[in-house]
Amino acid sequence: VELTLEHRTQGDVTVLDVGGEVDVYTAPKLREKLVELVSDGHYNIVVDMTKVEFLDSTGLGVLVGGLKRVRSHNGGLELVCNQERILKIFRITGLTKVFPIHDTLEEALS
Amino acid sequence: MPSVELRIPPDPAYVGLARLVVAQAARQAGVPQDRVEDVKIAVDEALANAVRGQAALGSSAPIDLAFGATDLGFEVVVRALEGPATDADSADQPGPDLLDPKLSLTLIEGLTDDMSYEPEGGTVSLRFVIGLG
Repeated sequence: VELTLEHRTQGDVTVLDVGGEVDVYTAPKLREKLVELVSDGHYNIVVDMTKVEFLDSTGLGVLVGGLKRVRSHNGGLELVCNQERILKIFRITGLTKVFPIHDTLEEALS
Repeated sequence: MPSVELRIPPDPAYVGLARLVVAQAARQAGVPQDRVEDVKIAVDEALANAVRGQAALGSSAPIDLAFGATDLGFEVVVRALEGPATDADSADQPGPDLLDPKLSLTLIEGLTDDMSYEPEGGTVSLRFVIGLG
């Protein structure tokens, strides 16, 4: 399963839909996408991880890098994730304290 | 010692394949499905760490895995050259988008029932166990 990345703008928020597997092989593509979005002036990003099937610490590192980038422009990066096996990774690494994590996209956009 | 052995190049493209092979072996050995997910992540973290370490060394030496049911449970051993990414002295200097290199070990420790990390003569063996049933 490869990584899929699609983004769209809703109001002043950019939603990045991520699907598939985020690991040491595919994470550089996610990194490039986040760098591109910030370079294009998208500073308020919601990463929708509903369709992510696998996530490892390389992917976590890329998300933290994205958060640092948007924060340097006074922006924010929030996540949508409702899968226990992915949430477990955030809990073990303590990143639930770093990222706002929402159950649904609607909740993240409200 | 686990009975099945697998050798892969230190290339990120092979990490996904290896974790699927080990996950299937874990399933066949009787590891519950929710713990098979833990096996997948732990194997991925161990291999990703090894791949990064060997890339930092500029080494193309293969990475060896051994896995299978033992008296302890489902046991996995990943052996590779010890790279600077796993060196505790470099833990305070993560790359631009990498967290502390110890994060992989934190994840493996959090997901498995037992873990050990043993440097020996330029190589390092990372071993972990997940209980059966």
